[in-house]
Amino acid sequence: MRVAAVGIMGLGYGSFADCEPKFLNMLLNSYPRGVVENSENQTPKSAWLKILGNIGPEEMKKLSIIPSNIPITEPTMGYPSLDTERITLREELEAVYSEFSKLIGRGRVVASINLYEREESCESLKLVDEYLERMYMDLDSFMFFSPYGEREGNGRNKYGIYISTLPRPQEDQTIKLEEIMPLILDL
Amino acid sequence: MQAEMECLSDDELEEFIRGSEIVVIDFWAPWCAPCHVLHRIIQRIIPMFNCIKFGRVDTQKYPEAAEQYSVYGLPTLIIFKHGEPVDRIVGVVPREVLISRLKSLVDAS
Repeated sequence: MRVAAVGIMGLGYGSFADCEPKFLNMLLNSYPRGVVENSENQTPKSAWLKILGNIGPEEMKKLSIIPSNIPITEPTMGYPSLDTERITLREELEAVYSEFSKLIGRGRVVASINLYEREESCESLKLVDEYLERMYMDLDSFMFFSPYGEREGNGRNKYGIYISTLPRPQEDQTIKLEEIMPLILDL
Repeated sequence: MQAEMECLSDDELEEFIRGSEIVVIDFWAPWCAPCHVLHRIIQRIIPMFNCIKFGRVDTQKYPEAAEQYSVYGLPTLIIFKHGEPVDRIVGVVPREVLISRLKSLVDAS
C-alpha cells in the first residue's frame, strides 16, 4: 500500500473560496472531509509536537512511519531535512516531493509543508495544489490536513482542513490534533 | 457598515431577523467543511450590501434554532425580508450566484 499524510501549515477552507484551488476543490467534493480544530498549538513545531505525542524516532520505525520535513527540529526531521529559514515554498515542495517519490511504498510517509503559511497567497496555494496532485497520483490512501487555518488578526484561524480516504472519526465533531496520529495509523 | 457576521444565539435570532428589512442568516457548524468555505464567500460580499444584515447561527450550540427553521442540511442560508423567510440556499454556491440572489431581493425592495 502506498500511504501518506501531508500536513500543510496554515491552510484553511476560506482559501478554497478565495483562491479556488482546482485539485483540492475536486478532492473536497470527492473524498471524506472534515475540519481540524486547534486554537492552542498554532505554530508548525507546537502543532507537530502535539500530533506526534510520545512517538519518537524509535517508535516511528516500529510503526513504519517515515518522517518527511517535520518541523520539530532545526533543520527539519526526516527525508528531506530542510533549513526552512533559507528556502522558499517552491524549494520546500520540490524537495519534499523529490524524496516522497523515492520513499512511497516503503512505509507511511508523514510529511509537512511548513512554508505555505509564511508565503500565504493564492499563488502559493496554486503551487501547493499542484504538488499535492502529484503526490496524490502516487497514493492508494492519503490524508491532507492542516492543524490550523489562515492568518487572522495577530493569530491564525483555529480551523484547519481534513481531506482523506479515511472518514473522520465522528460525523458531528471536529478533529482534534491528538486524533490525527491514530487516523494516520489507520490509513 | 457591517464588517463581520454577527454570531447569534437562538435567543437573539428573532430580534436580529426583525432588525432590518433584509437579513441573511447562515446556519453552520464547526465540523462542516463546506460551511467554512461559504463563510468566507459571505465575508467577501458583505461590503457590497450595506442594506443587508448578515448573521450566523452555530447549529451545534443552538440546535433549536435550526429546528425552528427546518434546517436539515449544512450550510443553509435563509434570507428574510420583513422578518419572513423568502429564500433558502442549501450548500455552497458560487459567489456570483449569491450576489445575484441578494441583488434581486434588494432591487425588488
